[in-house]
Amino acid sequence: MTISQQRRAITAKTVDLIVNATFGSPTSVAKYEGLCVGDQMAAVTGAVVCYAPTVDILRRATAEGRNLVITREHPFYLHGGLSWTYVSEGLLREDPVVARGVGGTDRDLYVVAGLAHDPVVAAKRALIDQGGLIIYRQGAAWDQYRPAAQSAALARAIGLHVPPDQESARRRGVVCDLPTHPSITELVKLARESLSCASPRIVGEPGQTASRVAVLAGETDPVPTLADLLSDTQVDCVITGAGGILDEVDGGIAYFLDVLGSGRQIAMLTLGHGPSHEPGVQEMTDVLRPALADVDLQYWPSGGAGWIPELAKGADPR
Amino acid sequence: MTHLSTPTTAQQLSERIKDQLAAEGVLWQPSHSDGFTLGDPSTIATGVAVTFKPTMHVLREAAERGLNIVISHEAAFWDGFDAPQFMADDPIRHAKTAFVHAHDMAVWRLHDHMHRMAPEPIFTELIEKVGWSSFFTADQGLHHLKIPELRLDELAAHLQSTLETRNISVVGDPAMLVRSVGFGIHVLSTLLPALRLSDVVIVGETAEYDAYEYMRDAVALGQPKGLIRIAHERLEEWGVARFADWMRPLAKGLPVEWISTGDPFNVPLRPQRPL
Repeated sequence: MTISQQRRAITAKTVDLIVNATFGSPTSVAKYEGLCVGDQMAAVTGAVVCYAPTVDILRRATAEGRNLVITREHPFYLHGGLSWTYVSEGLLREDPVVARGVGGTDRDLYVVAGLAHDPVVAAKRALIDQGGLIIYRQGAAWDQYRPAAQSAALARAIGLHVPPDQESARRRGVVCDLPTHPSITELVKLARESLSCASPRIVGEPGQTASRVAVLAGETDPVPTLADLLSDTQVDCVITGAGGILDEVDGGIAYFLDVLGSGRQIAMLTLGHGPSHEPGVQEMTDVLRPALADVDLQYWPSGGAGWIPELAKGADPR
Repeated sequence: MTHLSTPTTAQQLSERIKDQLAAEGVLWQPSHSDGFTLGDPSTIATGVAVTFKPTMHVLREAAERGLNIVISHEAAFWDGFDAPQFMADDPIRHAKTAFVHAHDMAVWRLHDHMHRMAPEPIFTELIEKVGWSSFFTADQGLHHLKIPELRLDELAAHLQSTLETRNISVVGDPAMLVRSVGFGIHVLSTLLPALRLSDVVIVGETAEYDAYEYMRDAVALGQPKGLIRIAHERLEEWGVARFADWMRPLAKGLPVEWISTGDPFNVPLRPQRPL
């Protein structure tokens, strides 16, 4: 390290203070945010910004001498933000335990395991310790700072024009008009080409054409957020991540099925939770860069985690 | 065709089911889920539709078939518990409610108590549907079923075929050899017991931001494990169909039909594996 580099070296704690001054404190907005693991007084040797601090990203960060990982998701899978406390809290417990549902009733009595002594967590923690890494989670405060940012970035990444009033709106989603009217199938192709999206899925008819698109990065919940976007009756397509625990049966996907059932000509394209957030994480990196001018900051894509197998013979749900 | 000398109400049907459940050892208990969620319990029954979730599509089909009492496993609306105040002014909620009233229908939910039946119908039927009934043992339960060895991608294709859906998402090495599977219930903390005993965990609807990330890390760390996600509907609705058979005698001549909720997701084009 040169003398000039030493003068500019800042600690992870300083990064925390700068980010707080820029976006607000993540820990004031949600649980499991901010500095998650690592020595906050260590000098930052370089930083990576990513959707999820995967094992592959941690190994690469260690190999390249970048000891700070700024991430949207938690290193130990504590997403948080849900009212069903056993979803996240259960992971912190010793195992095995039986989790109780909402209101302390015996609804959904599940045997759950905790992560306190989990082998994957232990191995990942060892990787972090051995690499001298610091994991800093920044998702909620960024969302609070610019609620539409993740969705606007996703829209731009697939070539949509985002109107300024949508960009600055205090809601998660954005609505964009399309000059052409592609089918949902054609939008799938576009999304595949522009995003790391291995498992796109459609709710509704693939042949539905899109002229006005509501874009909602991440999960479709809470349902009122999706309903608010759909209150624009000209919206005939939704592009979203989905992949939340409450999306499908008790959330936005179920709501959307009823929108379809009401007779509205509309379809939804889901890209996966991570792939839908990647463009926003990349744009957040660009916003952070001038604030953290003394830190070498790089965005690294996490890539999609899941895949859908080639179709089995005769496997067709419709 | 007239089946009954005296009309049967939705309420009376529900009481017969409760009585039979009690006779089989499932006593009725207070529940945040189970009970009437739409319509008037005094509605005179013309027929019974049993379904996983009472979507607008299911309600329309039930009405077209002349089945005005709907017994559903899941909620009528979108918060899990059908709280009356949840999105009370939403136009879709209004439309759904109006449809039920206009067609003289009633919807009764049976979730918690259905899961308490013995044998539990949801997983019993699922395991039978995928051809693994002979591999189930009471001591290992749902966390560990030894199955004939096959690759992870072959297992996924088997589930696509038997569960009649393209919507099968996998985390793991396609070439991994699988000798045992277990089941989880939606959330990561319920997947872990099965993962610690078995090669692959199968789950209906789970979160990508934690369960997928955990599995991705497990694989990257060299653990020979896999995760397969299917739709919530495709996991559970086969057992709901079995429940329709169970309750048919209780309807005393009224038609009782299962209506599939279907898989909400259509998988487009030729799926690609990650590079």
